[in-house]
Amino acid sequence: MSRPARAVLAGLAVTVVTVAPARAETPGALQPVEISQDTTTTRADIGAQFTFTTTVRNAGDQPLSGLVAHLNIVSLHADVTVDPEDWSTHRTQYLAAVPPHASTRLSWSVHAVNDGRFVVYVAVTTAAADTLTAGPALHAVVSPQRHLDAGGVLPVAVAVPAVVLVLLIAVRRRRRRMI
Amino acid sequence: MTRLRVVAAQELRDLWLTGRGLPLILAYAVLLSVTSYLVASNRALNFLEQREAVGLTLQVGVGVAALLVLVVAADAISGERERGTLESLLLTPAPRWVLLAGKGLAAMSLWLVAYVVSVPYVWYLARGTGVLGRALVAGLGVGTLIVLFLCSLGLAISTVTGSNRVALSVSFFLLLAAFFPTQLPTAAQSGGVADVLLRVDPVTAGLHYLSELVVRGRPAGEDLGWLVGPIVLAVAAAAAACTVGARMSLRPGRRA
Repeated sequence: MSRPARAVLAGLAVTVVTVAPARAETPGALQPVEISQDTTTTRADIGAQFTFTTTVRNAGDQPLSGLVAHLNIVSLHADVTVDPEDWSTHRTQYLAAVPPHASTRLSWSVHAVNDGRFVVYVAVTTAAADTLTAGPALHAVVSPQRHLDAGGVLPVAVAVPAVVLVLLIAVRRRRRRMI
Repeated sequence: MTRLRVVAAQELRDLWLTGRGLPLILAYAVLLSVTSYLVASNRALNFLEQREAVGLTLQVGVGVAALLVLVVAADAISGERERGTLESLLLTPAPRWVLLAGKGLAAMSLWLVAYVVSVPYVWYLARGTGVLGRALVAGLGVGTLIVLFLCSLGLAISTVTGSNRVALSVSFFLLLAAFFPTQLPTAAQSGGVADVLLRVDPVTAGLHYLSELVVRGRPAGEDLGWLVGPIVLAVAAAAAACTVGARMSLRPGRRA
């Protein structure tokens, strides 16, 4: 699939979910929430940051409050372990009340810590909800890191102190001669 | 201005030809060599992305240079007092704030030389990342603000304290206090009061700006708000040091 086509599909990627309104007195009272995302694929070098935006829309007729959105990361390779804390320091966002048929946008910043293929997703829930609902999957491909050449830095690491040392000795000798 | 130039020239000669300037810079260069070699070779540190390695080296460079400048500034007046040479210094036909400013300029020269020494390391680590220019420019600007603040603080403390030991102790304590917010856990760095603390502390705010610019590649103008604290405090500390310096007096100090 071409990139523009993926972008169009990403824009249309909408998940319809049901979340209990926080102020509902009976646990069975559910209201639909739609979660969409600005992209569903991304590429990053290891160590780089990437960002994406999630839109949470209240598709019901009553205001929704107490919504909590949480970011999670899943590795698609069995040998790559993900510690989500390393990937994002702000993984939970507490949303202000969303009026009926209105939406709120959430920005997420993610640090690509491991290389490989990952799925990043946002789940939304409330304190009163029996279930939580995940938004569209963001497929992240993280390329391996470029290693610095330790041998290359050696000349710089040796030459700079050597130049300063030569300068120091020259100044000291000149001073002794003057005395 | 001529008096300031004469005083600064004398202080520069004292620092670089007969004083501790070159030995301190040698130690600084060795430290940067070890840091950059570890960043490039050590597997654990090599986990860092290349721009993070540049950011780390810049931050170490600025932080250690600030420490060196603080040491020299904190010794400026209290050291003269303790060595019994303040009396002859005060006989110099120049306003006392000029004497202090001359010593401040000499101490600041340590930062400029340290910056020049750090350029080859930053150049090597930043090759191919496209951040070399902004790392060097931002490093010079932010480093100058942090160093000006700490240098002024050191000079003011050195002027009002009777002993060199007290001046150095108080200066080190304040330096540690200035670096303390950089060590706060990430969770503690969010929230109104923490944000104000991070922005007001010139060391934390300056290093944060550097990191955003070099590591995260954000536009230079986007986080300029983080430099308000360092600029205001650097200017205020310099003005306070000159004011305190104008009242410099010959008090008996304890000889070492």
